Amino acid sequence: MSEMTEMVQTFISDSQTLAEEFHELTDGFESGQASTETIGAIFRAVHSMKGGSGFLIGEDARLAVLNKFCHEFENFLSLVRDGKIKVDPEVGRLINKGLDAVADDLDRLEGGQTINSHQDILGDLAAFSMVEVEVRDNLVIFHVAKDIKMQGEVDRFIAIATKEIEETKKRKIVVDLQGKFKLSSLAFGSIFGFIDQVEKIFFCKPSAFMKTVLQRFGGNNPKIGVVNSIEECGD
Amino acid sequence: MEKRKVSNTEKAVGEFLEWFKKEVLNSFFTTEYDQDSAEYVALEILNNALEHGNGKDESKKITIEWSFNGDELTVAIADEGRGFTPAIPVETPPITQTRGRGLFSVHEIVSSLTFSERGNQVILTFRKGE
Repeated sequence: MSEMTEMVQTFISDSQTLAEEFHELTDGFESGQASTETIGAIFRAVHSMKGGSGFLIGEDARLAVLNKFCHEFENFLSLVRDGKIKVDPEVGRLINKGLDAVADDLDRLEGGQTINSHQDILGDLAAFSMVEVEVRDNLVIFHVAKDIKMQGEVDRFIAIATKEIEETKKRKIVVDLQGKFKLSSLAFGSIFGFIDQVEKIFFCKPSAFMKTVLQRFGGNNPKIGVVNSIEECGD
Repeated sequence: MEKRKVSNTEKAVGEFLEWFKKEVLNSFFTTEYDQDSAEYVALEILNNALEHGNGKDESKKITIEWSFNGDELTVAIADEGRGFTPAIPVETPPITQTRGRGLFSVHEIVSSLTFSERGNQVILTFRKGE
């Protein structure tokens, strides 16, 4: 077995140990009981799996799928940990689903099988986090998952965006409204708050009305761009 | 005039807005642009009522009344706060300013925007075709 393959095997084994440790701690989750310490510990474990899988993608391409899942799961858990999402039975069930998905992926990786992309769970995570994140070359892209209207929703989006911009150090950010999602003036203002930290903020595929709002708020500012595709954002 | 009272929580306001858009705004306005535009106006005023008027106090209520008169829709949104009448900005705030865009943008969209004497109710008029 090559050294790098041993690294993948070690990563899988260590991650499986972590996943098993959480199994007993999550008993009360589906009735909405979850301690801050437990959430924090799960967050750190998923963060570690995200980092490990990202590092080893070159050795095993399947780890890209696990990395993507851990990235979104980590973002969701950060919001729960920081109190921006309150733990209730629905949130507890989603955390358990996420942990089961990771455990299943690790077993399948160990067995040489392809792993599931868990689109259904990713969709549920994005609905809470408000956004699905994609990092591409020089861009960090926030694919908005639902309308961001109220203060609580803005807080969640900004928490994720702040975390991603700090971690990735990307100089261009893209807010992808996917032709349908809407932002309140508070959401726009909060996003503009990143303007001194980045080279440019792109708003991708705004609806016709959102485009009008954007033109009113930031039309002439050279650091704000409105585009119809991610490709127009350049690298 | 029709009337609804909504609890001063984000959940209740969000649910009301969804209902209001579907049942009232989408039947009055015929284009998606106008429907989105009117929903945005209602959202901004409701957010102001929730946060500034009622001070995020969940024991308070927001009252929404509306009526139709031909091509005009009048919507009045009231909170239970002390009231104040802010100056409506005439231009958009600097890009680095996080807040202060709501009333400016609403004023640009509606046919008229006025405050009650006490300052805790906003009366908006939408005119079809404007």
